[in-house]
Amino acid sequence: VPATKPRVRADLTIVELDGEAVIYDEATGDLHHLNPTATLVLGLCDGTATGRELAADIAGAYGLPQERVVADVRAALREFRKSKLLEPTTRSTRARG
Amino acid sequence: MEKLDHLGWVAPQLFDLGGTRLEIRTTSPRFAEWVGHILAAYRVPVDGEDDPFLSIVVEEGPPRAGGRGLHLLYRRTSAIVRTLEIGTLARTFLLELDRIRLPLRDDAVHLDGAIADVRGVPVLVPGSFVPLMSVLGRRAEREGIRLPGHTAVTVDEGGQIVPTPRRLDLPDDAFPRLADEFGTDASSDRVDRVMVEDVVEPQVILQLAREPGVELRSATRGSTLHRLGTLTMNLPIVGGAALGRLLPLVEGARCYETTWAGSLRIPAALIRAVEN
Repeated sequence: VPATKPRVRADLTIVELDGEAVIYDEATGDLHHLNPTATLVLGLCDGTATGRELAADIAGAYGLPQERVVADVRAALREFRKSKLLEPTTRSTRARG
Repeated sequence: MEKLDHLGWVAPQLFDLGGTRLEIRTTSPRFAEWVGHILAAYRVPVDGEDDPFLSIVVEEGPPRAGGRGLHLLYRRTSAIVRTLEIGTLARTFLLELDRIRLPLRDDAVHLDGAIADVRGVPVLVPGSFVPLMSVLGRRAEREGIRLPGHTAVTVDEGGQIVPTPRRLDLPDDAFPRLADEFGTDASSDRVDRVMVEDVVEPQVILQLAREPGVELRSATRGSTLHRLGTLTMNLPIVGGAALGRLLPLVEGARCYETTWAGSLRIPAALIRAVEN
């Protein structure tokens, strides 16, 4: 199955405060509040990396076990999709870089 | 002078404030006359299709054994203010009238919130706390707390709380006329509740915790900003820019949350938040 490269929607208003994001979605009128982990993941969702690649980046930067980070990133991405914070899915089978 | 109905209310008056209809009733023929005078430009015929939106109980009887009675202002069934001062009652009433159209305004960020003065420290609380706090009366005063006389605050472009610009077109003699009716007690200077009359920088922001059983605990600034966003009455009008305007407010304050089990615990929570 080709991996997706999540990209945060460009039309959202995102304010970051002490590592937490508050997001206003003008299209739906919804307000979201993300914890620091989710905020970190969202900040990396620029459409250039798959979830696994994001997890690898975070694990490398923070010296964390990759499998644990993968689970956290997947959970965050599921939540982002559910809340419609990401651009519609684009899929790619090519490796990054 | 208007007559009272069998329940003690003067015949209700109906007004149209820029497309928003609201019915106002009061127990006082004199207050009803004052309302009719200051809102004459907005008055429309009563057609029996509206429920009272604001109800004003004015204590006009002879002094009771326990002292003067309280004047009350209700928004539907919630008591917004209970006060000894007719001037406070009138000012809160006018603020409530302007509040109705705040969700449609784009001139600032308008929050469903209020400022309480807790031992000299301005504290921002959600507007929904005001009816809970209004029952405290002298208990709050004894603890050094001045209760809010408003249920909305305005945040300007710099992120400061400022007086809400009045949009209602009122006659210049509104308060002199009130004083004519009720004597010196009706002076606009005689207020026993906090009114936002200048720039206010709240040092503490107190929010309602989502889960039960929280007496008082620190809240993150992110969660507080989110909560203030949900309290922004005109968020769909101002859009995402509202978050940027609320940011300095949150950055400059200590943030707490509480689950208030009852009104009697409010003073303790407020004082702890201020003195922490």
